[in-house]
Amino acid sequence: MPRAILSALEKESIEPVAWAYADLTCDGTLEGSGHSTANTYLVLSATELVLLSSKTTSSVKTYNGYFEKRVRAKAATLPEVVDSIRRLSLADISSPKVENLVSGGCLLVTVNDAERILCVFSGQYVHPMTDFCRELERATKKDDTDGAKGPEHDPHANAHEEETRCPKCGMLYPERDRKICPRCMDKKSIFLRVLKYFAPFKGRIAIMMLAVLAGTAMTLVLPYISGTVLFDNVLAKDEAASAFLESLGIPGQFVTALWILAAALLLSKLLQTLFSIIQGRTVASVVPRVMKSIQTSIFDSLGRLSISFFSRRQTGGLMTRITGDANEVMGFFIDGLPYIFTHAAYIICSMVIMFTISWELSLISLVLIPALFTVGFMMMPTLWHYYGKRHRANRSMNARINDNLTGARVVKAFGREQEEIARFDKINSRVRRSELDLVDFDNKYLALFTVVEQLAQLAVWLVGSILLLGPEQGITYGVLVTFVGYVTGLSNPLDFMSYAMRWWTDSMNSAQRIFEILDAVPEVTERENAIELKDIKGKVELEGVSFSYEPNKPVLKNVSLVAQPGSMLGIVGHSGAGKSTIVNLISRLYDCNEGRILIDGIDVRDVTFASLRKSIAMVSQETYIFMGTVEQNIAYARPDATSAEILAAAKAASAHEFIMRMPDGYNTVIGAGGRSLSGGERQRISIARAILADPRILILDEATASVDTQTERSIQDAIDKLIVGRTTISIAHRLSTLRAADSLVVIEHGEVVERGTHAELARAKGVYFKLLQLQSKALALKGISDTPKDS
Amino acid sequence: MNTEIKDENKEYEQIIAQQNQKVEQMFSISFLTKENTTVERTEGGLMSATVDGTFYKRVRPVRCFPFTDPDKYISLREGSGNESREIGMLLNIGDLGAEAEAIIRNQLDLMYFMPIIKKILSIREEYGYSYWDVQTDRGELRFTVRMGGNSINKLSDTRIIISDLDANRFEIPDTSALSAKELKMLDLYL
Repeated sequence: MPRAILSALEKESIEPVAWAYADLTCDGTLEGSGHSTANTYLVLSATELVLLSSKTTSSVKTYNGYFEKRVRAKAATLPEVVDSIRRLSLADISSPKVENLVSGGCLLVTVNDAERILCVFSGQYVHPMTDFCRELERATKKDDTDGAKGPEHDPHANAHEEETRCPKCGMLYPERDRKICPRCMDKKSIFLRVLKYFAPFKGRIAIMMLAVLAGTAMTLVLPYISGTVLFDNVLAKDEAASAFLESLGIPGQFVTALWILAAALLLSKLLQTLFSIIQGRTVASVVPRVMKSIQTSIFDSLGRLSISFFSRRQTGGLMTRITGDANEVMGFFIDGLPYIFTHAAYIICSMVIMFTISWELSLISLVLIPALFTVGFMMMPTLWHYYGKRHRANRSMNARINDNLTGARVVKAFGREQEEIARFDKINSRVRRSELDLVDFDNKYLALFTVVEQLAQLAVWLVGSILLLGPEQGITYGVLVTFVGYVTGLSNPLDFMSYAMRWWTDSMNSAQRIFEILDAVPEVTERENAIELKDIKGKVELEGVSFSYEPNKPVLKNVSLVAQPGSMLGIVGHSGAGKSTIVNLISRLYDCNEGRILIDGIDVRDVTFASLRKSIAMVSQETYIFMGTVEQNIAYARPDATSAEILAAAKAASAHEFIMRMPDGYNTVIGAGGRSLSGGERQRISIARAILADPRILILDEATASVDTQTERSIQDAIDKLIVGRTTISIAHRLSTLRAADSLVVIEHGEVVERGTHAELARAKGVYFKLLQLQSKALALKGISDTPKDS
Repeated sequence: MNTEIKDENKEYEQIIAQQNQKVEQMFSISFLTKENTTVERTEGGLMSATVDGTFYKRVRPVRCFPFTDPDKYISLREGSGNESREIGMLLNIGDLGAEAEAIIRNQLDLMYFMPIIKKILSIREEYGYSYWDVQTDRGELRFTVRMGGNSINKLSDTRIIISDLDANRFEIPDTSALSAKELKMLDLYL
């Protein structure tokens, strides 16, 4: 809170309990609403709600997340001047609420029976204001109930205030759920950790590095041979050349020397090629292996993680992580890292050689080298940007194609082909434009880079020639040629270095993402010395279970229920009431926050995963058919099942007939890429799967919700067979499905509101009765009276 | 036995009649006019309305086409959030008279608050976010936009709505009015 507000409060002797800030307007009149300089502070004291409005003289308004590289002096926040104070007694206030606007929101309260708008604020203040509103509600309510209900403090209330920015540099985290700042992350330790994956291939890596270094050496030798040696020694017929020829016993044969030189040039070229082949081959043998071990370890840890990990992230995102990130990391380690060394080595070595040859010329190129580097460094981000733009354009074109192919029937049915073609054309020309933009800029970049490069060479030529022709004869012609060779050779490494930094950051970020999966701790874990669940009777109990997927949003509140061994318990409720959550908790895909779940009196948290999940089978609305044959799909939970058992299970699930109608019978390949099955057929396969698993406890989660009435009949028959002798927990919103239930539980907003048998509940005329009436009315409207008043 | 069935049928007929009435309400739009509707501004800065003799304490105007046709088809609604319900529709914002129009516009301004970008001072991108510094009709503003996703909504070739991290919206009504330099900055994000 700014000092001006605090001192104003002090002057009025108001003791703040809670406060909130609104940035758009404060007075109920809405006059001048939305001025970015309006500030409102809402302060809650023990007896009052105080509204203070003030003006800052700062002309710039900064929204959440904005971040400047150079943090300017805090002078921007000029002292505030309080220009009005309004006090409202809490006794007059009731029903405060935050209402969402298109962007941001407003706070409304009822003052003396008239609803009043207190303040308007933009998006970033919605959360804090909601908290404040809750506080206000509590304060206003306390007067009515005289503190009967003490202020309950929700531990999760401030959960959304958790840091979204890097504490070190103040930048927002690129991914919301990932508290990693790419600028500040410890790239070195990540780098070392990735290196570990290469450890088994030390020998080969060493060979590769040697080859790379040798190749660089060859590159360094080449200009020297074709420059100094050729012009100054051989062509100039100097002493060194003569001495060399004499030592070979062929004095004076300078043409032969030329041949030897040519051979040496050829040899070093050949060696250079040889080294690059060796390098290529070692890379080819190492990379796939390291890739494999990284991807395997990612997949391993994915299997280990709890279901919540998957539901929090998109499957697509995970796919890119496994393939894309591993590729990105590898790409850098193979195509980047070795060259960083060699290019650095090349730059240093050639600089040293250049200086030993001629310091005057070196100084000239030294001035131009930074220029070259700067060009790369300055233009690279924009170039990346254009790449990104092309990528986005391509992606939206793909999306459009996909959209059209999927909706081909609708397009045809309404005869909109021409319009679709026009729409596609538009997006296609965007792709073309982005491609042209990219090429355009790339050319500009290349042109500029080449110009600078050429200028450097030209300057070297020019100064070199002056030195050559000058009275002192500073250098020889061969030296000049050698020198230009080195200067030319520098441009590639410099170009490379200018984007290596970005490459390194990106790849370390990818590596970090991979390690996040590897390091993720599963939320649901098996405890040490977990008990094997054996020969159970199948009693399922929930004792005061509370659960929430997200803090602050309870899905289940103190739910207790019992399913007796061998009986069927039906769970009824609106969609979103928390029915499926109960199932997730029983099979321990999640752990409950409070209370416990018992199977035969044993807490599910004390039981091994394997034995728990062996005892429970689930048939749900979403059936998943894996790629494979019918046989494999049915035997998914028990791959060792005999053919006879599989047949029996399929028969009991009334799946046998349709399976036999397929040409390859039980060996028919189904699932993605295979023969497609109808919803009812998939459902029956999944029932057969459950029958074969032969669990003590069976969970039916809306098993028949998505199929037609006739199919439902046959599935229902299959289920009737399946539930015999098992504890069954059945969830349905179609009440007819639950006819056979021994007892029913009605869930509303995560709480058990009614329980009893069908007859009892129908007599009680409560929620269940209403649902029953609603459904029979709906049927009546359709002209079907399926269950005419059977209560 | 017979009478029982008849009673039952009667009951069903009644239900069907009720349903039909509801269905009719659901499927037709009732337009409000000066004759059947008056709106008033409440003391607390909100709006109330009387439609066909029924008084509604709190009414919110909502645009059907906020971007393409902001002054036509304005739905007057009671209640808020998921429970809100349409009382009736205004074909034109001025249909209830100038005074009413001012009241409605005031409420709409509140609902659809959105600064208009006049000038782009700088756009900078780093690690998945772009940072905007712009001159708007509400003064100079700085905000942050998440890259990728649907933060930048192209309503037409020249009209753009930008949403920041907290879903605050900013509009560029006509990109062709921007300078070449501004366009160049903006271009990378379109």
